[in-house]
Amino acid sequence: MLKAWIENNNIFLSEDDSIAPSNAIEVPDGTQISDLKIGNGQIVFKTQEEKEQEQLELDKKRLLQQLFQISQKFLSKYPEAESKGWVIKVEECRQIVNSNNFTQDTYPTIESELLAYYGSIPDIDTIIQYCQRIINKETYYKKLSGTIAGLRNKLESITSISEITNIETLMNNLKTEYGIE
Amino acid sequence: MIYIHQEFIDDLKLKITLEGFKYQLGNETIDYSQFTLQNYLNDVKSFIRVANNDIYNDTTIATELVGFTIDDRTKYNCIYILYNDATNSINDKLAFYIKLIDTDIESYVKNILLFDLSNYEINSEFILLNIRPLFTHYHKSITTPDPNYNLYLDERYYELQIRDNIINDSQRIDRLDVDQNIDKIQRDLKYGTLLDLMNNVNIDKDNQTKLNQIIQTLDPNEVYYMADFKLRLLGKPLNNVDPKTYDKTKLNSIIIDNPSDPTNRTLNSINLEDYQTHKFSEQLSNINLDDIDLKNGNYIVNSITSGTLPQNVNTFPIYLEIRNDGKYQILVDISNPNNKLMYYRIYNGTNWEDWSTILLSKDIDPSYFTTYSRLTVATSLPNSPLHGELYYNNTTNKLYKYNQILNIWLELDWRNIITESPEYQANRLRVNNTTGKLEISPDGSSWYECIPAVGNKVIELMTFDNSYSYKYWIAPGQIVIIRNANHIPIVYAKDIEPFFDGAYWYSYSYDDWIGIRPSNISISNGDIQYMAAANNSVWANRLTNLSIVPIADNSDHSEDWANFVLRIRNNQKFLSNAIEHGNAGYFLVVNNCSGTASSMSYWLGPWYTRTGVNFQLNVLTLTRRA
Repeated sequence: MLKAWIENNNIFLSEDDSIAPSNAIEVPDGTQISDLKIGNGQIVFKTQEEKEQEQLELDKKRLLQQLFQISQKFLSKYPEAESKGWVIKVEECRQIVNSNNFTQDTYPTIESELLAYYGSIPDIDTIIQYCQRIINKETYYKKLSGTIAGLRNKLESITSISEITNIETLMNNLKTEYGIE
Repeated sequence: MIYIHQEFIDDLKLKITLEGFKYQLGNETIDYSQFTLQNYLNDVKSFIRVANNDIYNDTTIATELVGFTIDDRTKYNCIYILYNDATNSINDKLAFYIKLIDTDIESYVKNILLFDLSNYEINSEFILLNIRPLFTHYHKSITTPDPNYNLYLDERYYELQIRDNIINDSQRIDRLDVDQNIDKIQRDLKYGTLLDLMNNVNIDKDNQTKLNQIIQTLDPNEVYYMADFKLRLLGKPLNNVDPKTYDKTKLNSIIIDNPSDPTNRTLNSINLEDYQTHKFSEQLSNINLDDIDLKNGNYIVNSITSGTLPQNVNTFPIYLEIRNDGKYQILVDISNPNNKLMYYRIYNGTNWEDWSTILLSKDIDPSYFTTYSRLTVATSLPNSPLHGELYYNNTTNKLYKYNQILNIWLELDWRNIITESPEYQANRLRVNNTTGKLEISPDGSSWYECIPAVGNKVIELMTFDNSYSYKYWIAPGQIVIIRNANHIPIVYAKDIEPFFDGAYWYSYSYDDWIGIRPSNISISNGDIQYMAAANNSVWANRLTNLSIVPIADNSDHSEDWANFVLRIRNNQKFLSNAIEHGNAGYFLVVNNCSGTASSMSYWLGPWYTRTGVNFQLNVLTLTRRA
């Protein structure tokens, strides 16, 4: 038997009789401190529902943390100034592709990027190819963003611990697809 | 049995050779090889009979002549006679008749001194050693002997002489009126210390150890020079023992006659302290070292028949000093000049404790000392020890350090070492009076055994098991190395709020949080806030309600390492920071952790994962900072 007791609203659990205070109670071997709680100033066992709920909350918290990490790790590949200009840059690219025309001083974001990358403004075909890659990347990012948003919503809404495994699998697939450790 | 110490046999021989005595004996040839005291005394008796029959044949007062002396510094000689005066109810008293012999004067003074002999074995040595010198001075001081003069003692002191630590034989006693109090004379002849002279002498002990230094008394008119002081050996023999193993004579009572009316004596007594020898020329042979009937003194031991010698001492002679009424022995192996050790031991009333060893200070060489020691706990000495190795005997509770240069285990006095520690000062660390073991307490009521890990700057703990049987106490500043342990076997006292620094690596692969359970008690409020970095990503999180005091986040790799600092508050709150390696073999994690241990916790505890798995660290170094 193990000994459990309360000090300053904290529960302690030990297998050493000699160190347990006289008011310690006996609990079965194998009891974890996470199995116990304080109720009306006494040590009581948590119900199975309570334990599952606690575990669910822990798992949700853990997976949510992983989700944040996936997003952060993806975003951290790009300088902040670049990622903040993505929306404007994609819009400029769409206009260029749709018009099949590039006019200087009309698309300041993409024009600066082309100058930085090529050293001068290339021909229109090269510009179209360059803009198409950016549009494709945006789609790639939107899928990631949408998946993360969906998983987050799902994590926050689940009520059963059995659903955790599925979400964990989806998150692992996402990490694999986007090359995130 | 009559025994005269060699010193005084020589003394007697010297006297016999005096010209005056030779003359009185008619220039008889003395066969020194046949010399005995009895023969000597018989000669003296014969001489006295010849000189004056009246004296010796005065059967009303004298029964036997037992002593004789000649003061060669004066023209007066002295004879003293054992007096057994039953008629005056002074049984067991020794009276002395002084016969002053001069070429012109023959007279004596009777009933001058009575010694209480009830505690002494009367023999000639006693008289020669204790009494004769009294008269020596008397004769010296009297310029015109008065046949009717009653000698009594007053203002007396011994004149002691030390020359190059050679004891010379002389004493002086001044006169005093009998109605004055006779104050005791105390001296520690071992150190040449005149402790008290007429109750008004102070000794400058620092100067006293030097030759020709002044002994200053309270009386500004009294100044004695050490060069003029003389010490003498006093002793009496024991029956049926080797003559060398004599006991010290304790002259604890002198009874002074009333000079005014010999038939109505008023007796005063005084106590004299033990007399001790300053010489250690006494040669002892075939003694039982554990059962030697010797009082305080210094001796040369040439052989023993039985008894326990210190380890590594097996040659003779040895120098033996005895103190505290024979209950304390100091021994030096003088036969081996390479032995740089001195030994001592104490008789505890039942048996002799083990010999303890002192490295003679002049031989202490800093190069002997190391910064690292292994500490083994066992009941017998480790095999093939290395220089600096520590060994704690958990049966005798003694701690030893091996000195390979001297080839000896030197005992370390850990009981004194611990006294300076803050927990000892706070009454949370003690030596159990019954068991002799070191104990620590979380509250001053419950005490738990531990082992003193002291004796070197860095100590590697070699003895522990992974069921937590051995726990060690370390002092502030102490560094310990612990390998392949599933726990930190270090005790603490919360009241003094100790700090620890730790550094470790381990190969246990487990992707979650790790920490300790103080005193192997699960806690419920372990808390960790961390910030992690991998490549160019940084993130953070917090975990609460852990059953461990968290230290770090483990990694899923088989090589994990961290540095941590742990502070323990007096409310048992553990506060820790760590910088560690995280996942993937390169993650950086910074942690801020806390957890509250039970009020009864007293040691740092085993390593556990957050999910309750006990695991081992490959190497942990721990430094106690406070």
